[in-house]
Amino acid sequence: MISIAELCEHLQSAWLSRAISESTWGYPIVGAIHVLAMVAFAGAALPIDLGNELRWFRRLGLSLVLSTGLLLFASGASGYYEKTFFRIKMGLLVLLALNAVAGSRSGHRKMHIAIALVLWAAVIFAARGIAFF
Amino acid sequence: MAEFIKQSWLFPAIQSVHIIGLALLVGTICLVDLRLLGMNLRRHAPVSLMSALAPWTSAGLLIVLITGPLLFGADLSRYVKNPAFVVKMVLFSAALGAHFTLHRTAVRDHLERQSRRQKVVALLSLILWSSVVLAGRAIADFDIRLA
Repeated sequence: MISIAELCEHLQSAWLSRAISESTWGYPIVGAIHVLAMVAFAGAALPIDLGNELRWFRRLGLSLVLSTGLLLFASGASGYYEKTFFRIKMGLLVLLALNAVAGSRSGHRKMHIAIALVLWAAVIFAARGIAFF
Repeated sequence: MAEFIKQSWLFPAIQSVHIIGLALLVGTICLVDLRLLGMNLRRHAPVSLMSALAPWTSAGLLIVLITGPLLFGADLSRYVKNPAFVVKMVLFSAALGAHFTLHRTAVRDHLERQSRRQKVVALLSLILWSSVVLAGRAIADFDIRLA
């Protein structure tokens, strides 16, 4: 049975991960796209009353955030896996996913949106924590 | 006080609030820009979209204007030497200046179809605000380079 730590080692030594971690501009560029996509997603997610017209834009933003996030993680998987704030951030993302699933089935739409906003703010705090601690 | 912020968990905490503020500010402005370019929300007039988003935009601006100087004051010598920070301040001034002049006028133009002028302003706004975010992100990259 392969452990998560070993899986991280493998992921980190994949060619794409090494292309990012070993090049000068790889990490800053992927990181920049990650942050820009996050900003675009925030803009599209806030005006909830405009509803479905912005769905494609939200999806585009979220897909970019997630795919660049995965690349950043892959470039230094073992190091990230060790970090407490990285684990907290992943936990918060799981909660966000659960909240989204629950929200799509419940009548308390406003409540689930409020929970999502609080969780996203917490994700930002956790993300800064990864860089600092 | 500055030294205390710099050394403690307060620094990343204030940074987090700063990033949330920037996301509110830039995210909502970019949405209006995309509307001016005719890329989304065509059923809403640009001006009504702007007023619907105004509380978020203003909150974001207020947050970055409070947290930004706090971060700057906590680590002055780091920031003044950082080229990405200097570029960010120049871009931020330009973006803010354009926002309250060119952008505001462009959004308030009542037209059936978006004019070329509106599209140029929207594109300029998109580029300026994205560059502010990118320069902000790059501050950390340029620390390492100079160390």
